[in-house]
Amino acid sequence: MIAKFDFALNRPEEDQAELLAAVEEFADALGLPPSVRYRLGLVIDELVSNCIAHGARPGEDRGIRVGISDSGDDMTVEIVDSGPPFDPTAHASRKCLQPGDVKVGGMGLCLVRNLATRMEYSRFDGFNRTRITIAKSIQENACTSGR
Amino acid sequence: MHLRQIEHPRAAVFLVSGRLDATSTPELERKVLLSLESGVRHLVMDFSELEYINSAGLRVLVMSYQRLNPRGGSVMVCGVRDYIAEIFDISGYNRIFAMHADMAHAMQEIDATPDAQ
Repeated sequence: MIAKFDFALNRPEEDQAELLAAVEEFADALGLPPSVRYRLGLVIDELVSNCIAHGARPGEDRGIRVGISDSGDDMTVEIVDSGPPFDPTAHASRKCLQPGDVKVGGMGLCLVRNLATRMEYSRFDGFNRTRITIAKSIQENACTSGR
Repeated sequence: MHLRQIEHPRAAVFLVSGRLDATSTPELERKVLLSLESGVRHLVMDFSELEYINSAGLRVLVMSYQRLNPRGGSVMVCGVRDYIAEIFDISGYNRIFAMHADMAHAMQEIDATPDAQ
């Protein structure tokens, strides 16, 4: 059986903490190890925060929908939002740190890029859809920037 | 998040427990950056009771690094749990922060480092 999770954020800024608590409960129910549970919560946290920070238009309510499915070897996260077109795969570098250059911007997407085994984006009917795959068997994917 | 600050003449020392996320990080940022204005050379963060950190929390460490590095100082991260340590490793932040097994080791390093001021 494939375990599924579905959560709608009608008021994203207010609902984000409740979403993350629900993700924790879902991960607990599946008995995921701490490392996978943390990665799952972090990826969702960062992508939803990115939607909130960069997608909202003043005075406009916008919804975000977060889905998770457990397919055995992988966890798949799908985030659909109604904001302006934004392709996180075009902005997310694996290199969080460049030699001699320590910046505070873009850290969230960089973390997501390094945690995901697959990251896909599509735009359809006015919605952004980002799909992230997280492997349950964690393999170190160390950032080699500057080494 | 629960935050406790320990007085030290050469370092800003914080013990952080619970979750460092978008809700709790502004308080940490305010207190950490204020403490760095006193001219200390090092920031020591005890994360042994930290359960969660996201990019907002990491950003506070990077901002601290940007202030302390020109003074010859450092950001020391202590006791971080294994699943969180992985995030420092894969993102490369373990190369700009000094990662210590516990706060005692960080304090030993501070004591062994000559004060350039």
